[in-house]
Amino acid sequence: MFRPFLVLFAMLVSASAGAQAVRAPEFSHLPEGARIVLMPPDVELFSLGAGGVSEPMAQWTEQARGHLLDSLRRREAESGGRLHEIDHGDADTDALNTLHGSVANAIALHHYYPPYSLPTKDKTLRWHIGADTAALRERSGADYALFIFIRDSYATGERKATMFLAALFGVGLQGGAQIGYASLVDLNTGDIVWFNRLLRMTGDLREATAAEESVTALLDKFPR
Amino acid sequence: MKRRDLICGCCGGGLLALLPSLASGEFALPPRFERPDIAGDEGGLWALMDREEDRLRRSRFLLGNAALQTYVSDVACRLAGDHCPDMRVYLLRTPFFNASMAPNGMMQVWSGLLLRAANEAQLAAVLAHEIGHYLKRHSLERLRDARSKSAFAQFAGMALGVAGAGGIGQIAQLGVLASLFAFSRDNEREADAIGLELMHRAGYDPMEASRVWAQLIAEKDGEDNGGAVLFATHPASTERRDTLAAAARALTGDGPAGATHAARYQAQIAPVRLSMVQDELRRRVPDSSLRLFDRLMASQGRDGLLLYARAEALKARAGADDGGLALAALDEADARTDTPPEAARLRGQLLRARGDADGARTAFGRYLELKPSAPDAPMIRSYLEPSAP
Amino acid sequence: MNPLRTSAGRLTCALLCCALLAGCAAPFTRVEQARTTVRERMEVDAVGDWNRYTPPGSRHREIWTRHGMPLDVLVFFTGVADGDPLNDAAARNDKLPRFRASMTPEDVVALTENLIAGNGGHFELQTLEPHTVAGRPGFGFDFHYTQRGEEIERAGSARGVVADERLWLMIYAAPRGRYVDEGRPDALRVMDSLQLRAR
Repeated sequence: MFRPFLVLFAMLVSASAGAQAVRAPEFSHLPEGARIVLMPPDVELFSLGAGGVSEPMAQWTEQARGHLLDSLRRREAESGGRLHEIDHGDADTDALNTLHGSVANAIALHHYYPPYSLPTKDKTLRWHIGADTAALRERSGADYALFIFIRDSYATGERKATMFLAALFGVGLQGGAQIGYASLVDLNTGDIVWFNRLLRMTGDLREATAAEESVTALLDKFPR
Repeated sequence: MKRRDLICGCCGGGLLALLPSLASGEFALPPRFERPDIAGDEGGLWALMDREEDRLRRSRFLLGNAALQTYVSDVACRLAGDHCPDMRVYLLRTPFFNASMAPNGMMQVWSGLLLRAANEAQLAAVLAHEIGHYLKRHSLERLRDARSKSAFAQFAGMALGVAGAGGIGQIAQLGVLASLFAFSRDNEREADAIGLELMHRAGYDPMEASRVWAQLIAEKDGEDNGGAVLFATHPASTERRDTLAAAARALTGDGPAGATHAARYQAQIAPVRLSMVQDELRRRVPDSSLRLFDRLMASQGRDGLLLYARAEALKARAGADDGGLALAALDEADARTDTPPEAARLRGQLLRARGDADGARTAFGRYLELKPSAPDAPMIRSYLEPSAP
Repeated sequence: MNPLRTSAGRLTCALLCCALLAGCAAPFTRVEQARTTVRERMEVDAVGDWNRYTPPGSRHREIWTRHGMPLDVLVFFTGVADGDPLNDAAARNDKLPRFRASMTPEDVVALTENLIAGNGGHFELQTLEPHTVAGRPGFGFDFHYTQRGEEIERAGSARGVVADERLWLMIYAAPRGRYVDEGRPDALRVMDSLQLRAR
């Protein structure tokens, strides 16, 4: 799933400008006292070798997940603690998260890239998570769920050297890319009421400070 | 150079010469592995595999047969000795011949392997080979090696791209991706040698390792790869087959060859055999499936399920005489007790295609009797109605 | 490219390749008319909100979707000729199973199975029964499947008929749960309204 999106990225890099949050037409803000359950972030970090082979980097992924969760917790502590985490490893949670990846990919392709926009969607965010969310609502006691999906790759030193050489030959090569999706799902309706996409060649989740910036970008215009 | 190596391997000395200690059967298992520090590349590899394993545990592709799971785990344990507690076996329902073992002890065995193994010793041969890679920590070597390889491919690819010979890096990269998952020739030899030794110690006939490769080579004959994903990572050659055979002979010497445990293996896989055959048929590669089914019949007997499978593959191949051959296989299957109900449906389909309406009617009726709630029963029932064409 | 077989990524690549070709503007258009023609060979009522897309270079397919790919698809096979594979985007030398005019509904299920899950995926037939399709004696079937390398279980329904030596087949599929529950009734109504156009 990851590599083709690098291709997508390379193609769209001129058309995209970092984060672009969007809301469902009927959704304006979070109701007073709304509770949000945070789904386990679906994160994978890759190292992009000189040959363009992306290699999953477990250590980076663990670091990134840690920074991501720290940042989210800190934000919520500041804004009144509406965010609640859910346990890992539950089969239903897993299925919802897998489904989210697929729905978010469809949104990224059809909502954000104009040539492939779906006329019936009328340029509005009209997607749902695709499964019954009642069980999650009851179990978590939350009204909303926040899903996060990130695929991030970083060029190795070798690749950077290759990019430099390639530039001498007049050939453009991409370095790493950061692709992130955040979805806020209304657990009463299953609708995705707020969505944000990151698609850029900057950002670093491996270090706390830079990860903080990535989370800020991903949750930019997060509804209050 | 390489050619020379292989020829030498054929003499039977090549493989064992690599590991002199093996000739005397004194290969010592390394002590059990400690979990490495997460900060190192080995630790990273383990952590990655742990997360893979987490996914695998919840996969929809697990075979889900507890008895068979225990059985395969026991075979792996007998081979791995002290390392047994570190190994976890997962059986996956995927119709390709493959097995792998990750550095953290996660072992995957695909159902395509279970279908193709003739006996327990053949299953053991593949598991022992993978355990060999594990004991020698070849994955780590491969990971470290991969980095320099991909760096090289980028330059090769750039040269091609600049010369206008196609997409940048694309051609070169294909090769690198394959090699990224391939063990080096030396790694393979080492794993082969350790595998034979482990088989021998566990009381299996090491000659079965050579037979596994011989079977895969025979099945591969032609365009399809015989469902062997393993070929991508484990080069199969007649040289390898011969080297393994020579090494096995050297290992057993004048002593007893060892056991194959064909009957007990067959009994264990029996409950999942029909679904494995159906998964194989779904691939729709009738030529290689036919070679597979015919070979299984030669080693396991012409049972009802395999005769039915042969008939289905013949129908899919649809050559000039294949209808008749398929019916002949079904006739033979009729005398067996383990023939699945689908055989009656197949007979009905074949007879209907030949215009034998009465024969088809009888066969379809039989199928519905045997499996009244089959998903396709409404369709088949419609063939019995008087107005049916 | 086959939406029933490819992953999101490969689909995206194919779409992008299309984007790079001149004159390949707005590949997705709204299915407007109540009665609409599919590749000049099939005619259906457009029940529900659908977007349509014709894969570049395809000989006999048109794809409809409500929520986008890879979420839901209604694929029309508009008269597969004897000797052609269902996957018309496959390379000519690919050794794929081919449709034969003599095929039974069970054979067409097997072709579908191979198309959707032939590469090591799972496929489970739920029902196969006779069905009037375009006013002719055809068939309908329901199924579940999981593609290899993907853990999402999908469900689908199909209607088909072999007529004039050709296969006329419509397959709807979406992830199990709300997507398939909401999309399938409309998809079935579209299928049930099929008429074949004189060639």
